[in-house]
Amino acid sequence: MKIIPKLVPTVVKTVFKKPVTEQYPYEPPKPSPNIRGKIVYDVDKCVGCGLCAIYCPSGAIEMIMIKEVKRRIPIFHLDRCMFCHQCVEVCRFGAITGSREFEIAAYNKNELKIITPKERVKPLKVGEKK
Amino acid sequence: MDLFKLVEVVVFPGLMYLVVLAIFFEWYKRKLVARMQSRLGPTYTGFRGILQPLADFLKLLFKEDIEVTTGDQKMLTLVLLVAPTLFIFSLFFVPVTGYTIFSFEGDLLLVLFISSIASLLLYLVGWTFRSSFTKAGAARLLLQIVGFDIAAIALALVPAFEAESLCIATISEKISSAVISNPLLLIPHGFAFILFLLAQQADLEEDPFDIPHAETELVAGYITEISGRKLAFLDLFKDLQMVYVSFFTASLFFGVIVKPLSAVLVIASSVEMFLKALLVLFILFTIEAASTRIRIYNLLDAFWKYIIPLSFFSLSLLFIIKALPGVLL
Ligand code: SF4
Ligand code: SF4
Repeated sequence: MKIIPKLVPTVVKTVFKKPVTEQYPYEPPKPSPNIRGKIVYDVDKCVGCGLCAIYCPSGAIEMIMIKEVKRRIPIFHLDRCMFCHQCVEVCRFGAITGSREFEIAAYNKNELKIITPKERVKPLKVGEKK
Repeated sequence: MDLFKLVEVVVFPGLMYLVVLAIFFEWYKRKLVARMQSRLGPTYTGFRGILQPLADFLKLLFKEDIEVTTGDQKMLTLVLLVAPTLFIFSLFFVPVTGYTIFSFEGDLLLVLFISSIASLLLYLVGWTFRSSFTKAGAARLLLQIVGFDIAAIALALVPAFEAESLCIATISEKISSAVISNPLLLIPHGFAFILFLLAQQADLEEDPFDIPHAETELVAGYITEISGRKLAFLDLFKDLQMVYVSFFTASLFFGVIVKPLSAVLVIASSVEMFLKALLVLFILFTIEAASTRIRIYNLLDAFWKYIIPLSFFSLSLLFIIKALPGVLL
């Protein structure tokens, strides 16, 4: 009861301020700087160690063998991903980075796979320093 | 009854004007309370969502009329037809446009009586159903009416005694000159105004007095079982009540300054009364946005222990101030 008179000036002041509501689909979204969004994979930095697939809590990373170049690369199933960014933390080669993109809904779950085309995958040079 | 009077009753400043005002005030309420809470309020229908209450009303009118078998539907229909009519009728005595359609010495008491009856009809709405939510809501509403009505009637008499009349039109004409001629009267006047606003807030069942339809406890209180067309009329009733409360308070405590003698002046004084009504509603909505619901015990405490004694105190203060010159001279 006692708080009501204290709140009145705030309430009246708020009328003349801009509302905090964001009309999201009609306005461009303003995601928070800390948001964990879609992951970005860079095949050139990856060594195929498979740590990301081991650590992914939701089994969203599958390691596949590319016979032509004799190396393994991960593919990401974003429909299973829960954006914990554990893979970003665990990859010591910086091949996975997080982004702020969050509008990744799709009608077909095949659209949600991050598959690197075979042409992009180059053979590993053993002994080269990264 | 001549034709001119008929047009006045049906079109301006009668039925149609009042319904348009009711719909506008509903929009004003939603928009203002939304802005007070840093939300946007209605934006979609019409300019800044101004047609949203009308759209809601029409949508409800077209919906299926679901009749709950445990309720007395005939009684409910009767109540919902009579209740909005009562407010429209009592607004004929209130200077919505600066002048009143009907007026006689003593209409203040009639209007106060009619508004109490209208609140009691809401009680009947809840009582016609055999549902625990509506029953509890109706019982609380009755307790609430007993709380605020006595205070409201006593406080409405303060401007009546200041202007020495029981006719609302005369009070609204004389009140400003009466207060200016004796500035001491401002003390009971301001006092009564604040208390009267609180009583009207309880009449409108807005926060902190929205006890009869406490959403978190009673679903929607006495409205719970109503839907479709009947809910549309109930909403219209609440909006008309808002119109009644704002114009009644404005004409009693602010008065009419522009005298509606010619057609242009009628427009000027309607705008004046409209702005005053908006001001009254602004204060009421500020209280609503800043407060949370209190319990029924707190409400009865507040009204019976403080507001009713204070309203009689301001009435007696008024008599003392009025009698002072006679005693001193
Ligand atoms: S992305 Fe990183 S963690 Fe995953 S396989 Fe490649 S190098 Fe290893
Ligand atoms: S963000 Fe989390 S869930 Fe998604 S792929 Fe990386 S480890 Fe798996």
